[in-house]
Amino acid sequence: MTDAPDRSKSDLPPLAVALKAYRARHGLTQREFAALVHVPAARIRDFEQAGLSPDTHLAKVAAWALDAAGE
Amino acid sequence: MTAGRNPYLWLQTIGGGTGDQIDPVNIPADRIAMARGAIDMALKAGEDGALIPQRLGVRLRATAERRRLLLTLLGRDGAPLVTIAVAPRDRDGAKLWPMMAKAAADQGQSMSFARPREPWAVVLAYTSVMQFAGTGDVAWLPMIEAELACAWLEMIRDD
Repeated sequence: MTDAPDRSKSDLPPLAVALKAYRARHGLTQREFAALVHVPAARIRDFEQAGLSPDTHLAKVAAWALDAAGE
Repeated sequence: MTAGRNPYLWLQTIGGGTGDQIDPVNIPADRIAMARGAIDMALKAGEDGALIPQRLGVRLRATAERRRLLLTLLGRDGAPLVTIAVAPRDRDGAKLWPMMAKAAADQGQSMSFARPREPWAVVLAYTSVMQFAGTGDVAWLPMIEAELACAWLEMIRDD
């Protein structure tokens, strides 16, 4: 399988940026975070790096991260 | 054990990609014993569930029908973290599979895999699992899921 190409940060959906920032704030790798939220690590990578559409669960998780950033 | 019965547990998260084949003998006996105790307490506690010894403030709600088991772990705020369905045998799987598919659909998730061979445990995760992201300890939840499912297989075997 070919990895999705990286996009510049400004091209990424706000949810993807928020999710990456949230992970970084809590010191979690993609793999660690994937285990917690029950999503494949590859899907998190594709979302954060290429902005590929997340499934509903990951989208909700990212929305949570976005809300948390605003608190 | 009945000849031909699958000794391994297949543990699969909805939306979680590939599942894991778990050999229950690889889970330490003390962890299984703790999980059995948690299931026992939860079954007796009814709708409110019971606090589990494995994790501070986390509750377990359990419903058993024949050999089928449905578990829900609840966070400190009472929000569901995950629901786990455990199907020891084919007839259990036939009942639980459509129930989990519907529960997943209600959450906007879908079964991206075929029904595994029994025994299996299927896990539906909720957004509330995020409340543990700040703890730095994220491996406990998948571990407890496997321990609870394997404990149930042991409990019904001993029945």
